[in-house]
Amino acid sequence: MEQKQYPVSIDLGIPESAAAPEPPPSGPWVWMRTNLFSSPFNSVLSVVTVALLAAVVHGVIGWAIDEGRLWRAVGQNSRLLMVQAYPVEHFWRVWVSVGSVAVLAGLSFAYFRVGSKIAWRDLSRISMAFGAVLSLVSLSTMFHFLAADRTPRLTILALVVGLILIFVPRMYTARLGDAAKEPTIPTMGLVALGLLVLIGLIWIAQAPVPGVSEEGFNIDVWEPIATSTKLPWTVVILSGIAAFGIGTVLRDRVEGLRQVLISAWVLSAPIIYMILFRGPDIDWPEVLTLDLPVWLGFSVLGGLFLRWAADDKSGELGRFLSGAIFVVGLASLLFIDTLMLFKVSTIALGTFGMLAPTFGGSPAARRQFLIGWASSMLVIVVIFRMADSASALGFRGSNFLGGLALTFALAIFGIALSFPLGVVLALGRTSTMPILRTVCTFYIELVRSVPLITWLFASANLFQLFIPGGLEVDNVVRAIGAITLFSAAYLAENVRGGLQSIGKGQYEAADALGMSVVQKTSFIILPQALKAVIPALVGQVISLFKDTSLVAIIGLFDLLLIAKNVIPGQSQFLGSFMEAIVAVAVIYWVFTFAFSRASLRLEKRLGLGTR
Amino acid sequence: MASVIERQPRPPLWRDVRVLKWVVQFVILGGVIALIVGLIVTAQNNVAAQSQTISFDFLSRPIGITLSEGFNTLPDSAIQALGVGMVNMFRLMWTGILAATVLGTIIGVARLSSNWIVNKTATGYIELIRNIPLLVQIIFWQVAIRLLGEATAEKAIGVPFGDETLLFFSAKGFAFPWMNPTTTRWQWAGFMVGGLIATYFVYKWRIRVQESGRGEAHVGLWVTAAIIVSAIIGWWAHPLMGFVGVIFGALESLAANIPTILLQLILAGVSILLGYLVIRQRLNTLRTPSGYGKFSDDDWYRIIMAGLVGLLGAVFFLLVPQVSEIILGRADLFGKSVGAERIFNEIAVRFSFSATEAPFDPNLPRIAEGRFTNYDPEFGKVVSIGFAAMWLGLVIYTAAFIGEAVRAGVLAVAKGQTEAGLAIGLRRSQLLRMIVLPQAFRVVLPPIGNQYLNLAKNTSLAIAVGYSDLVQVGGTVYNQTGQTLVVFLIWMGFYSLVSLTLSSGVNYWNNKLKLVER
Repeated sequence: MEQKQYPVSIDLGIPESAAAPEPPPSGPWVWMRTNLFSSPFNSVLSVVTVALLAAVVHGVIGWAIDEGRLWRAVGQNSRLLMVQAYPVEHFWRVWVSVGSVAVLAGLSFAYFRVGSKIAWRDLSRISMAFGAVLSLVSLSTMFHFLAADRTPRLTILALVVGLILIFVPRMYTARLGDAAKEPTIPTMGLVALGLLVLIGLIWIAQAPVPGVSEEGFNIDVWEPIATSTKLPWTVVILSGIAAFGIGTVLRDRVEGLRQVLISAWVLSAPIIYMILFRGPDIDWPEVLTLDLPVWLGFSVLGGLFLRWAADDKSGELGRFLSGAIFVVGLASLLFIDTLMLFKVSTIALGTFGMLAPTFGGSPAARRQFLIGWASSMLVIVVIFRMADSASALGFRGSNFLGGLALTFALAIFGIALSFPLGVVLALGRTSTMPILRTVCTFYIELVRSVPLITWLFASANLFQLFIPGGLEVDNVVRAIGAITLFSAAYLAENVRGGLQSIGKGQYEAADALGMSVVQKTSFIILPQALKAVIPALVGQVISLFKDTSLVAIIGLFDLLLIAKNVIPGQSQFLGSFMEAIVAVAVIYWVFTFAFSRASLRLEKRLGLGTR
Repeated sequence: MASVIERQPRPPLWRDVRVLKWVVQFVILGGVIALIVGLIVTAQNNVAAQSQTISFDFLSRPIGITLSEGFNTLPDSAIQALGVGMVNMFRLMWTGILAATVLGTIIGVARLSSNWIVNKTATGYIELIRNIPLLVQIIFWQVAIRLLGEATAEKAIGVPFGDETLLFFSAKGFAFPWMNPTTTRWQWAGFMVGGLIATYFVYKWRIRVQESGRGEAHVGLWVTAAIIVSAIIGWWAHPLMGFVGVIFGALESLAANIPTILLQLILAGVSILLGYLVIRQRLNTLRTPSGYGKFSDDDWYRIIMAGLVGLLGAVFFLLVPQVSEIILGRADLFGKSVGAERIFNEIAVRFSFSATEAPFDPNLPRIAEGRFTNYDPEFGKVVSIGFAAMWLGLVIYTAAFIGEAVRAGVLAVAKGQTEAGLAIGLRRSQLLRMIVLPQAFRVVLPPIGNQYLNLAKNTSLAIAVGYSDLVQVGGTVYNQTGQTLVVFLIWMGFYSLVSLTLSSGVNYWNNKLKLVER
């Protein structure tokens, strides 16, 4: 069929010159008149605010660069702030853990297409803002330096960089001219560039370290950063960038990368735990004679049973047998004397059997279900092997853990453990079963009405009262327990909000399709409910991260306690309270701010909150 | 064609949802009860193994604690020490809530300002403050205050006022002018209650004037004036309130003569009545024009539970006369008489026609130069480092969140309201005050209520800076007595009560302000 041809342009009879309207007046003066001095009141307000801000910023900078400040206290204690007393000879474990997270993050960023493209015009605006802040700060610094008769060394450089950041992008934009042909730049490329600059900086930068002068006094000597610090960081950053590149190449060519990535993230937690905390002395012959057969046996035989139970033909008998296996597993906990691995595996088999008809309906779903079973068994076997092997590290307890590492350990384990519990509590609170609902409501309200610090005190001082004598539970583990139980109640309330936002029609449609309660909840209700409350859940995660600072009160050496009690007590940094606490505040701020920005992006990407 | 729908045969028991549901619930209930019993048994064994006992008796025994501050820094018993802690917590809470609301509203409005620099400053404040843990901020303020000069006339920062000093800032905390209350303050407060009632009538009257449209009513001005006038009159006229003392004296002798069994019967009756009211309300909601509908499991559960709780309460009051005796003041609670007799007596002695002293004694802060430099506690109001650090931390932190809530509330007010306000010629400030904020208040109340709750719970961080709140005092008490569990139960009960009170107050206002929709 032949397409009709239309004329490309239509002459409307308007002369060329009249087509383009007069552009609105622009420029800095117009901008200032509309945004700062629109009315007499606004003018006064602007002047007062600017004066106030200038005074505060100038004062803070003056304080920060005063010769009496002991910022070295922070720099030389950075290892303490990061990992506290982690033994130096085992640092490779930390680096391996950080590196594997960097690689996983690189791959995931590439696969999930994190980051977008930024227009040149926006980039130049950001650069100008940074440049303006940098120039103002360096001007203020220069003023302070000159007032104190000190030579402004780096400030001039900073001022020059600031001016370049302001004017060079602006000139380039002016030269580009036509807005339509503006180039766009991928943000991840900018991030990579920033990281490469960072690597360059740590190779050329120098830091003060304690040394002895020729006369025998203790002074600070400027030395390059130790190779044991800069080499691992370089490797970690480069492997993260490389992983991003590889992920970009692979994401459209390899199928099933999504499953691989998700399972890698799930498995990374126990593996990092193993590397960092245990370094188990694995008895390989026993792995071959016990673990491998158990895993293969349960996976294959259990898999055959599950395949049968998932089938329509098995009917009541399948459910009954699965229930029986589950009950036998539970009973074996109390009455049968055998390896714990067998008991837990039996309970898992019973649970999977009871869920089989729900999740193994179609052939494709059945395949996934069986793969899920085999990998769950793998996780169980690995965890038992790890727990059973003696640690090769020779740490006692977990008191070696502290600083930022402790904060992250508390936050990650707290979130990972409290999330499932919170979902279960929310389902219980919204269920139609009165007794279950009462129990869940009572738990949630009780936990929420009492502050976290009292629960932490309970975990520290009250816990041993309620466990059989002789059993000792580690401090950190107890704190994680308290944080988990506390945070679960808050998460439950967030999830409940999501559950209540699901329309009645969804429930009725699921009922009309003949879905069971479990199917309805896990395939229809929960996915929608959880998606609806992602912003609230991320908010909860952020507040949990901030709340980990409370463990300082029960005497765990997290960032805060180190800053408050350890650093100001060191003889060479006596009284450096303010420096240490400001440094800790900055560390917390960077992470929390990054989380909240990421959550905003996620919200936008999911299209939440827009109508 | 069959005209009657055939009843489906019931499924077998193990597939019947109704049966399964209850089986599951009783299994869960059994599990929970087993867990609790197991914990209690273990706790008893552990305590017995250390040859201790868990009991509340220690609360009334003397205890050697010195508190850093409070209405009684040398409490004679553990329960009194905990009481001081509770009062200290309340002081922090209510002053904090007040200040955080004011600051938060300013921040929220500034965040929406069309003035670029004001807007960005408010945004910067929020992003800076809410991303740093509260505890870090509190410690920061503590450290900052400690860096101020010593509390001597030369080193402390002072704001002069004639020959004296108006304000002091030093490493010992802050001090500012205060009206120190004297013994007749209760009489004055009683007078003010009367004054506030009178103010309410003034308010009603001005509202009537406003609604009649006869010119400007100046409601706010009139109400403020009424309060100030009654406060000033009360300064001299407070002895008139002596009649309250006479009334409560009579009530005291009444409470002393009433038989215990009467109160027991009344309490039992109230308990049954409450159960009955709950059941009746439930039944009323189920009533349809054609009789009662089908009762769900849930309805039965609620009806049975309400009846059961009401009856058990009645039996409890009848079988345990101690409760009624405590309420009447015939028996002691933790070695203290807290009953009606004592309360009426306490009120009666505070009101008398012959007490004519001024209710407050205004004075300026002073520094007491002695062996240890510090403020003179007799003059002005002294704010300790602990209180100041906690207060600054709580107010600045909570204000950031309140600011965000206020901003969301203002944005939720329909744009047409603003445009209509501008169209009838209101100024920006009038628009904000008369049109936008009252409507935003409705949206803002629930999230702000949540922030109040958070602030109340966050007062428990006071232990980090050594301010004697309930948690700090409780920690000291259990370190001395070893009664961890009892102290923990007191914490739980107290914070639950505070949370419940605050949230029900917010809910009450929320329901009152809700748009009435037809």
